[in-house]
Amino acid sequence: MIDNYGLMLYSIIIPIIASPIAYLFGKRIGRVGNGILSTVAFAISTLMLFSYLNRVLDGEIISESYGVWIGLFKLDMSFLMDHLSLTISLLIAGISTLAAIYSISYMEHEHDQEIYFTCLLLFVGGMIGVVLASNLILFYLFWEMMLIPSYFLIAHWGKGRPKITGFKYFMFTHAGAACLLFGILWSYSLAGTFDFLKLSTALQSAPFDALRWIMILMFIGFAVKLAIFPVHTWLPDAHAEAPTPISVLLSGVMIKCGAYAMARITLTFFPSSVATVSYALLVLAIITMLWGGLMAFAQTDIKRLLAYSSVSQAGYILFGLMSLYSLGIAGGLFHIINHGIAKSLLFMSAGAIIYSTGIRDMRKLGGLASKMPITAVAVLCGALSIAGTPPFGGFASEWMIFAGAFEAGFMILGALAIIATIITIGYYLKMIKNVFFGEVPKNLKEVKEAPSYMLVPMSILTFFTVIFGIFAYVPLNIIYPAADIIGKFFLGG
Amino acid sequence: MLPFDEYAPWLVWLIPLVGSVLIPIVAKIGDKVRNWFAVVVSFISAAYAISMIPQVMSHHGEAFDWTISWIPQIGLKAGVLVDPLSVFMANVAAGIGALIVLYSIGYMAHDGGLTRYYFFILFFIGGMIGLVMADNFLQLFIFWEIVGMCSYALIGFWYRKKSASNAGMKAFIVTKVGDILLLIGIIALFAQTGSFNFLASKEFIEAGKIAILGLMSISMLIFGGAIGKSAQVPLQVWLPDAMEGPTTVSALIHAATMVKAGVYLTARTFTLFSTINEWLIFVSYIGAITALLTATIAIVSTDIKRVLAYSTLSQLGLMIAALGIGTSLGWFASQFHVMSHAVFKALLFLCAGSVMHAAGTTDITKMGGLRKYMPITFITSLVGILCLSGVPPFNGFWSKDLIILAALEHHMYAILILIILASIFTVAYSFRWLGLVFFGKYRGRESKHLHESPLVMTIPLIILAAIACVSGFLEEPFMHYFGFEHLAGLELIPLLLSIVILIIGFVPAYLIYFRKSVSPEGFRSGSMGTLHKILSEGYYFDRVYYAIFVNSFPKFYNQIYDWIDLKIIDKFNYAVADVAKQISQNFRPSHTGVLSANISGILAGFVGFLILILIMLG
Repeated sequence: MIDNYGLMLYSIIIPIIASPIAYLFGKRIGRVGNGILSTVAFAISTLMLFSYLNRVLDGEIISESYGVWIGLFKLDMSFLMDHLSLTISLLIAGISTLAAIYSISYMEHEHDQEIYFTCLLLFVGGMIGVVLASNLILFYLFWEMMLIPSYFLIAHWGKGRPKITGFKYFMFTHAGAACLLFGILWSYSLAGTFDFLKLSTALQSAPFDALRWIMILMFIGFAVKLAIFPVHTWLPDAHAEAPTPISVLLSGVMIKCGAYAMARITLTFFPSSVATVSYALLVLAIITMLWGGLMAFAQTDIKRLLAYSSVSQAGYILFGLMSLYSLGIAGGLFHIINHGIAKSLLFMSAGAIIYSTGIRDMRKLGGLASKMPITAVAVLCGALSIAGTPPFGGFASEWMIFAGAFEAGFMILGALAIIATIITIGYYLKMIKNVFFGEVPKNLKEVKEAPSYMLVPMSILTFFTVIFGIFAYVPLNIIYPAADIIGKFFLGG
Repeated sequence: MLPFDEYAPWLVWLIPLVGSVLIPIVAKIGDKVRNWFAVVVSFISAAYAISMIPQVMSHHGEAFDWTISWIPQIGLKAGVLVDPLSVFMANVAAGIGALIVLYSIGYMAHDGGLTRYYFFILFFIGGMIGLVMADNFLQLFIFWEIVGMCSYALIGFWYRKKSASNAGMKAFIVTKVGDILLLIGIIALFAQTGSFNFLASKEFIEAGKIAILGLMSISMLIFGGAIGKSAQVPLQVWLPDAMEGPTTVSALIHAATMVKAGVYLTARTFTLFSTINEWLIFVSYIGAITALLTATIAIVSTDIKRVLAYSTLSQLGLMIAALGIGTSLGWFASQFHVMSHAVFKALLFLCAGSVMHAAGTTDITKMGGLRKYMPITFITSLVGILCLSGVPPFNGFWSKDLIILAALEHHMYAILILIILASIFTVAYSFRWLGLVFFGKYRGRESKHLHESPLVMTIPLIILAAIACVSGFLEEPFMHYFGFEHLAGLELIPLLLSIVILIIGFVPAYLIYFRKSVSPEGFRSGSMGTLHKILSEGYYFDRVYYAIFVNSFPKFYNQIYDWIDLKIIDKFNYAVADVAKQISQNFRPSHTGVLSANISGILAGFVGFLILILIMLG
């Protein structure tokens, strides 16, 4: 149904418009002013997206369309709102709002604050655009739009060797994006359209081999974003060395754009070709889980551990999606949400620890449970959620992922995926023990709890890790129909 | 009666859960308020638990399933199952939980971090009752993990102590191994039946819709969860270390309730899997072997709580073995022993706590003669020990007698022999413990500080001891409660066996630790020395696990991180970048920067372009 309120467009445009404001007036309104500006911009986007909730729940598919002339070429700017885009865009906008609040404290000790917020606003605008775009070219434009500001954010404000890390991040993702672009153009030559709503039928008559190659090319682009083994090595560098609020957005939200794109494009437009490689991809997902988990064990840097944990969890998401059963896909999509919340929480907590102590090496930390009790509770909830421990959200999504695999008949792979959770709980308990338990080292006697700009977003996320576990049916109201629509492509064929 | 008691099956676990969440808020009012709030909440929960008994009696052993919608998208329902088994376990958890929260007021009075303590204790009580009331596997698993999490947090209650936080982590990870097997089993069963519900699964299995091989592996996997939670061989290693937690926690979680969750799960799934012979054999041998191995380790342990921990392991083994016998008498004997053990082991742990409170140490070789200083603790401990070793007419005697009878009736002689041997060692270590702690001379440094514990601590002791004395006679009502008609009565052979066990076990312990006519030193040298070493190392289970998972595993992952992730996968990316750089370096000499060279380059290009156009124009 065509809709002319334009709220989808505004939800993308508002952060983008706020971005030059932050740059031009940034020096005058200061760090807090900039932070509030970003927070408000993201909050407005969140509310606008939220206003679609009832209509989407009623099963409406809402689209918006604008024609934009770029030179001689008419770009069809069209946006789409359904269960799937609502789920992911709400996650993106919501977490970005919290990350903006968090940035206010984080940027206290940093330089070039106004440029930081400028990039942040653009970055988030790009991510929301990726999820709402209903046109492959537009999708690709936003896909690159979220890459470029995030490159600057890593390269300019990162720790360690930010220039090399940022460059590596850019090159990896861009190589993936090149594959994606190739796939997009190839599919255009076959289908004659970029439009999501027409693509599915237009591609049906295309030759099978070509479709399969297009699917693989696009999948590579998405897999790099999602950091699937063996193209995962950019992730630990980028996520660990980025400034913490950006790590939150990268790990919590941005890599999920890869998973979203798999659900939206790979599974929806190429069901018959995905079905031929799904087993291989499930095995790849298992390898990613185990590999990320084992590597997380070997880390001493707290943020690097979390980054490798994201690699491992990306494996779970891929595993759920590739089960090709509604239950597993729903689990995978739900895990995008739960992992997004819990990993954002963990990165924020890690940032709070680094902010308060100045140390990121876990071997030098200890006994912080008494010094930073709120952070300790937050980390415990986040870690247990990711490790799939009830009653937290992570369990609700993980069992659906496993059950999806079992329903699809992959008993051994499903069992392996369950076994991989013990690795997750292992490295998280090790981390918790090293950071929060034991004696407090002498140089940390004076440590205090993090400032409230950090604690407020952390508390909100902690609340959601618990709520989404116990009242899983609330988010599943939106997620399950999204998965069901995708799952139907496979049961039929 | 109680208000809203028709909702008792829900309220009984929701009240402690909600209460636990309120603890941090109540703590703002005052410490005393918080402590007594916890006591009140746990007693209300216990009252609701008791109010369910008449309800369930009126159903005559029939199960009553009460479901509500939970995740409607996938047709999942949450619910409570009210049947004799669940109500019985709920009463054990709620009743003993309430007494232990009361006891905590005295025992934990001098500790910090009590908000955390009461939060997790109440959360645990709620979780444990929720576990036994759940009507489906998924809900059971959720509570299963909740109690595991509380156990982790409470073992590591004194988190500054390295050994405590390590023990908590060990407990969590070792039981997680079992939990994972359980989850695989549950999900495999769900994939077959499309439902998590116990009763629906039962119908499905009875209809023979699952291939026998699949059913067999599912049954073994689900029993794997019981092995982890109830600490059976080979996952028994976490329980002795769990004694690092406060004694109240050991009594409640690691003796009376949580470790019984495995027994409960086995009893609950018994109706599903009891037709699978291999499952029964597996269950009974795991139980019987655990019973014997851990009873022998308890003989050499010198820590007041670790002796009791090994004893718990051994008694859990007995319960599991009794279930594996596969008859309804065995099933009943096991549940009867669950009740006896919950009472007397909680009692013994609380006595141990009382002793430690006074003596300030956990080493039983540094105690002795305490019966003069702590008369109430001594009498109640004596009752506990008489129960544990199975002296008539205390409750342990009746339930153990039933287990022996069940094994005899079903002609499982190998199991019977293991059980009898385990019981002999049980008698021996029980009286050794009693002798070393309460008899002889005091071996500690000074006896001035020895005193009896305050009333809040001794009252729960007395109540538990009283229950322990009388509950053995409740066999018949208990049987009636479970809906069994046939009453075994006191048969001659098991009775004789019990008495023989008592004599063989008691005499050496009496000679060594009471009369002191035989020195225990002789057993620590020579050929007995080797045996002593093996026993005090706990059959080297821990050593092997440590060698693999604590010492070698880090080397393994560090190696593959260094050699594969960094030096192969990541290096490859840099190698690609280097090659690109090299290639572009090769072009560099052509960019000389000399003006004449550039101009000639431009001209050459222009000429080439013209030629191209000419060719194309043809």
